[in-house]
Amino acid sequence: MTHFIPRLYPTTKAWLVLGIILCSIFIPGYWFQYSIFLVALVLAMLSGVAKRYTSLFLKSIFIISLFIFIIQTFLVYHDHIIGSWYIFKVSSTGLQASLTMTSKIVAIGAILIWFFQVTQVKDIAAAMQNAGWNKKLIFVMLSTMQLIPQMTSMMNTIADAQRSRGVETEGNLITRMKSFVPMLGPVVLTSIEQNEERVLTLESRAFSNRQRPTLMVPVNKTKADYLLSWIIIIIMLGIFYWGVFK
Amino acid sequence: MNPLIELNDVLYRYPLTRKSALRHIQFKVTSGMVMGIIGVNGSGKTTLCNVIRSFIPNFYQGDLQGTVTLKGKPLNQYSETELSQLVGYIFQNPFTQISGVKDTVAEEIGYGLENLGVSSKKIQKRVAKMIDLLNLSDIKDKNPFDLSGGQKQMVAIAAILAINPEIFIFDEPTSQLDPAGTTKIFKIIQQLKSQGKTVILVEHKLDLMMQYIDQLLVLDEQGQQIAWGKPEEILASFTENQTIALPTATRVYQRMAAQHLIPIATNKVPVTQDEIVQTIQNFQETR
Amino acid sequence: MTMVELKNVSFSYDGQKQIVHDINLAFTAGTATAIIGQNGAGKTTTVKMMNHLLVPTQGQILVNGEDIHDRTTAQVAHHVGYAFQNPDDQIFNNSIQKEIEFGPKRDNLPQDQLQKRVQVAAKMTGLSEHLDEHPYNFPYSLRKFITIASILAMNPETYIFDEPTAGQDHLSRQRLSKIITQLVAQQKCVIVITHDMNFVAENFNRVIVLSEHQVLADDTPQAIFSQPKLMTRANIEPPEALSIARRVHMATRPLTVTTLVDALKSK
Repeated sequence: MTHFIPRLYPTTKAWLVLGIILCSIFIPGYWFQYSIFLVALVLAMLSGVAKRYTSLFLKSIFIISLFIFIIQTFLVYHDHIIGSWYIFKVSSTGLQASLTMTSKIVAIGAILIWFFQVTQVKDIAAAMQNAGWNKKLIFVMLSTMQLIPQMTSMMNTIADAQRSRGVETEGNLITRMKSFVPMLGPVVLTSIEQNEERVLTLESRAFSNRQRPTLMVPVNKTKADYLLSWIIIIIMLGIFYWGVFK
Repeated sequence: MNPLIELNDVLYRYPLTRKSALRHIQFKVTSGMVMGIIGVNGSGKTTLCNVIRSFIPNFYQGDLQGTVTLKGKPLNQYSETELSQLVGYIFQNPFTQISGVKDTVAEEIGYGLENLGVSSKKIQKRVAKMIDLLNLSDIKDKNPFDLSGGQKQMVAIAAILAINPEIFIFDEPTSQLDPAGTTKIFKIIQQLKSQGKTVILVEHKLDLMMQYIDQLLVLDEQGQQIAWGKPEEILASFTENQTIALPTATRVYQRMAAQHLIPIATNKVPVTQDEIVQTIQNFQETR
Repeated sequence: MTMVELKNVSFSYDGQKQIVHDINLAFTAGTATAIIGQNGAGKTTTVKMMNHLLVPTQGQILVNGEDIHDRTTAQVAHHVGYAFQNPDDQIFNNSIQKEIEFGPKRDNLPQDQLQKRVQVAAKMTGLSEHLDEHPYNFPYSLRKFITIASILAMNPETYIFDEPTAGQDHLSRQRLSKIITQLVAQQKCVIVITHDMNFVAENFNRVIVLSEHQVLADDTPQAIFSQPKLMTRANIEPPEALSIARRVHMATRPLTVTTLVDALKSK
């Protein structure tokens, strides 16, 4: 199972994500939405990424939701006060509003975090290529993904270059910030400078060929993907119907 | 038969400059030949490679005069795709020779073939062969960005070899490599030659280069072609000076001649280690 | 006088695989030393520790007699200048002038002294007429001279050049020779990593061979190049002149064209 889910075709998993996002938006209340956190957790456990899923969720969605919850409940003025403490007043409408709002963030955030933990960007790119998306668009997406680790390593080398020319980059936060800001210019500059040579590299690899490209490691839909996609679509339609209209 | 590559009175000026980067370049290369280009830095060696691959004028503007033909057909009648299959170009700087979209070395090597629409089975077979040929199996699953300069250079070479073009341009391929890596590259050039490929090689390691080339083009500081022909013949007309570097064999020979140990030859000089060893042995016997 | 000293220095990124193992070396003022060995032998790691860009996991590094363990790289940089292997890792200003003056500017020198430093460094590296140009207008191999100039302008006591000969033509190699000679004459300490054995034979009296993360030999070029076994083990080739001399069974061991021809003549 730990290998089964990550190996599923990206769109199979995307159906689930899409279904959950739509249901979370349209189904009233907050119980369904909050339960998605648990659903995604179970999926993450089945996919063998429970630890990373939980840590990422706590670091991002949980903090954002908590923040919104506090602001909405205690600071935004509402009627129907059900309790107060100094200047903080809790109202039932405020509580309702924050619960509904944060539950949607939790649901959408949880399922997306799970999705990106079990789906590689290059598989998404492969699926896009299979579906006949524009080659340049896919290229931009892939190179952007590579750009982030690349920029980080470039920052480190430029920091090294500055340190060896007498700039203090070690020490407290202020010293580090001071050396960080002037570094941004060179980082951008260097990556632009290197682009020209990279264009020629791509040309040498037949990038401008108009024929449809192939994939060295093909990513294809299996029977399981077709079957699962339909099961997911039907279940999600069912939930949507029961949740919204009943 | 048409020569494979033919340049006729080529002159080129970069945009916004007055001085020409290349002038009066004129030579014919037949199929299966290994051609060397030498000249000091800034003499236009890379520029010339860019002209032969038509990056000039397709990517660099400027004023290009004269004609360049591949297989008797002018360069501008080729599409970019045809050129990428006909001429493989290995660049000088290893750090910008990574596509930036592949996260394993194996897929990086197969990228060109993907763009050409080759079937995945064929790509995998070809890539496996390249990995084997260049001994890259230790790093085949690594991210290309995490490699050293020398390793990146090897991967770039593998990526071009995978496309299997007819003509190879190597622009200082060994400048970032250690002796072991350098030897490996020259062995590849030797193999390409035995497969009947045509190679254009820019290199500063003259002693090594001379063992592999059939023809030599010499550029001066102004980008002007000052000699073209068999290295042992054209280097006979040069003495050690500021503008043209000479291989050790030729330098030893000329110093010996200058010191009257041997007669001065005007039409042919030793350029490789083997040749100078022969000369010295002859000299030792006459003593 | 000893400028840089490494005492039982080891380095490892993960605490397991040793990149450099138990190195002991000392470098004195007024000398030039070549460090040779194949890629991955630990050459760059060794010199980066001298500049405090890397901190040894074990052992001690002394610069001008003082332990640099609790110094910052910025402090050590005033004494040990390091020109990077890949110039693009080092250059981050958009004109050669700015790149060269970046280091000395941090010392709050008066303007005339600062300009003099830049001019001297530019002259030594042949960049005097290109100060206003963009570094990337230069070919890769010449960008190396920009990095060297920016170190020269800082006027440290020790200079480390990491593979300055890579991709250089004979004129650039001559220029590098001249820079090294000038620095040695000024009683500076010069350390150069290179793969060019002809360059080593012509410019250095001391050669350190690194192999498999350790110092395999530390001697004169004469002594090192006349040990074929050592050369094979470290995967290095002798200078061309010596190879020729060996093949014609000469009694002497000339390392350069000049000494080779002299030996042939005197026979």
